[in-house]
Amino acid sequence: MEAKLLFDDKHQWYVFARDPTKPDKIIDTNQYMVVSGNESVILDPGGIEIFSSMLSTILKFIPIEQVTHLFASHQDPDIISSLGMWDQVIPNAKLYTPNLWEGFIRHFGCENIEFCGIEDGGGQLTIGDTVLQFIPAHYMHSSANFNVYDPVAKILFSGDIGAALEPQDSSLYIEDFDSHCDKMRFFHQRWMPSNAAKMNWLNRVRKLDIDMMLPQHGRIFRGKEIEQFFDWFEALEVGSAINS
Amino acid sequence: MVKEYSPVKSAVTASQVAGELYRASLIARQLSLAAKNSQAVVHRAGSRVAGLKVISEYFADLALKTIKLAEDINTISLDISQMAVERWRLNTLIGHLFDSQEKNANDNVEQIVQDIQTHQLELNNRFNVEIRKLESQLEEIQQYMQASRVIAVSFRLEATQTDEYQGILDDMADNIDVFSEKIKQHVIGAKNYIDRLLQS
Repeated sequence: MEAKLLFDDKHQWYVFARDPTKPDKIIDTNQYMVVSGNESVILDPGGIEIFSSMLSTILKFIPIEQVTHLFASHQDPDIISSLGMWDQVIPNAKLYTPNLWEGFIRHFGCENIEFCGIEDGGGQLTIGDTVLQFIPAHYMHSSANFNVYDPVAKILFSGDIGAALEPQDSSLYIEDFDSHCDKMRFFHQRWMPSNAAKMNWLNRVRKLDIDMMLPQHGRIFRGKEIEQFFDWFEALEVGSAINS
Repeated sequence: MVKEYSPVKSAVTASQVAGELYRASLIARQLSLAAKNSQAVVHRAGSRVAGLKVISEYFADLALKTIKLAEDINTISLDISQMAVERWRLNTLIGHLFDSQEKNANDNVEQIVQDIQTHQLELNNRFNVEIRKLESQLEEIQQYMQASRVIAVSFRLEATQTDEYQGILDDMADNIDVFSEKIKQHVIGAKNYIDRLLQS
């Protein structure tokens, strides 16, 4: 699994992605980790099939004792079906995830890890000396869904928003925004259900100072590509399946 | 009878070993750079350090072998971790099947349990073979580092016979020593993780 340091100051952001050992028919996912002091949080730790790759990759950078928190943006299997395994490996950790999904997410196995439900309005999490904000992104696509914003690193983890369906060996960064739109269009039209929710999210995130936007699938947005994405997304009609 | 280790501990141990060897491989790249520098110095110094030519070539070869071995160990560790996770999932499944059997005795379930147990046994045997292989590779990389420190001694000895290159050769010997010791410490760390698993 490819690992890259995205931000390195008093705290660090890592991306783990493009796992060559994962089964072919499983969608490729990007996992992220924020490390601050002796604590860390894994954002959308991924599915059960990539658990061993994730564990091995994380332990290249920090010892197991420092994996103290998990965050799941929503309830999908590619986000958090590995929970039952993390539950055995880091039993003293805490899981932050939408409160609405508690009864569903516990189906993946959560006997030891402390379940910390995030209320609809959002909240925050302190990892070491770093404060991360949970930004509501409901119905984007999941009915209870959060992004994570780091005001110091100016990074927004956007979950499925900004996702693209691409081959396994594609670059981690966008090289040409216009051609990248073709890879994002179907995903957003079909998986995002509501234009009203889309505008609500855009109004929230346009107020944030963002240098990097990190989706859970596809490529990382940097600098002006973020505003380009907001404009492209605003103009895109979503919820396309109602026309079928 | 082949011993069965906790799949949870096995998965974590294999990942910890992979982590240690990843860090060792980063240092091995620095070692390889030191080896290339030593070849350049030997080339420049010509007949004044003739005794070091063969040693510096051997050193360059050793550094490359160390990188390759560290990467191989990393791959084996990942395989072991994946095997452990598979055993872990099968153990969980068998637990659920036993629960189901208790609730409602069913011959089909018994057959399924037997098939899974056979698969588990195969996995366990493979796991034990791979973990021994890992141990022997860690041993091998440790021997490489011992050889590397002998090379550092040779550099120091040769340095005393040259004037112009004494400082450079001494610095190189120091670098080789430091890098080799760091790699050795990561290998010892990896071996300790395995020992703790095997003693559990």
